[in-house]
Amino acid sequence: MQDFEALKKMWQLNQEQQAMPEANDILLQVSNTKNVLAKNLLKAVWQLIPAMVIVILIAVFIKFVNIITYVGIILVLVSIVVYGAALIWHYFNLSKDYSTLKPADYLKVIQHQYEIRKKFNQIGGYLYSLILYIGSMLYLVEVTAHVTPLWQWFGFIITTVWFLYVVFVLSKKVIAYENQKFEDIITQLKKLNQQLET
Amino acid sequence: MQNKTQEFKEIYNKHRSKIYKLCFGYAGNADLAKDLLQDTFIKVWENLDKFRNESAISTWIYRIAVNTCLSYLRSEKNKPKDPLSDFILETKPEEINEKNQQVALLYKCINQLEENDRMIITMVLDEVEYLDIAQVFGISEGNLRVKIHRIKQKLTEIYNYHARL
Repeated sequence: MQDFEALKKMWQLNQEQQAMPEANDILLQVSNTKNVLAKNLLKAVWQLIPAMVIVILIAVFIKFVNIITYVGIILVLVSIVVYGAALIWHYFNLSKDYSTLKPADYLKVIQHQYEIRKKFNQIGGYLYSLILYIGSMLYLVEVTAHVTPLWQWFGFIITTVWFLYVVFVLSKKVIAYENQKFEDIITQLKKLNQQLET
Repeated sequence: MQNKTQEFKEIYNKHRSKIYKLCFGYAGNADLAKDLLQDTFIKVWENLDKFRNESAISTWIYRIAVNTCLSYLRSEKNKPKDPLSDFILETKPEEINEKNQQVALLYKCINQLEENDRMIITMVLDEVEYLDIAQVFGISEGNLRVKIHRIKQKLTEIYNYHARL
């Protein structure tokens, strides 16, 4: 039978030195970690640039008669910019470090973030899709003016189906996945806090 | 920058052993413990400028380590492995003496405690002041004393049970 003091002695006598990384290895890892974050952000922004350039080129080099077409193009551009801003905001949030917070404070931060994301997903997501949809529809009015009404309606219907799919299927799946992740973290944090309270 | 690097190296060399033991006690295997140690000190480096001397630097590092461990193991894919087998696998045959086996068993028993309890008891074993532990976990010293009493009893029971087998 060992009492706690015997276990403590055993622990403290255990000077077995494991091969631990050196300080320089950690410093090297610091720069690598930052590079990965920056690289991901850059990659996401780079992916937006071609779409933006194409829309701008269309607006500049193709002469449209109807002012509504230009309104449509501007709305599409606005949605791309809004998406880009949301992306940057998301990365800033990701790179924030909460490791020095107390467990209870960390729970509050996560819960607050969850509320913000929920509001953003509910309102922002729909608004973003709606702007993109209206922009695309306005653009299609003039672009499809010279085709037969059948093809024109085909274009409108395809755009509408795509919009409905994004809003009611795709974004719902993405939001549900994100909410699940947040709820898992919050449940775990609550469990950990309960351990501290009892 | 040079000063920060120097300061970091001193902090790292002074605290790495204790933080490694905390991570090992929590994670249950050496590879994961090294990853957690590394993640902890990356965060220490990144936040070093924000450290305001409101608490001892060791308390501050312990808090980062605790949060790093809890965040890391929150994901399902990082379930701890059996620490005893790991410990023995990593130890040369001639070094598997009674002392090593006792320590491996102690790690295994710590690993059976609840998440927060594992880290609290590791800090108690390393003789960290109760006030500092209470600060790390954001609870009162009175509450902590009650918890420590309970965890000590539980750990001793688990250890003696396994030692008898």
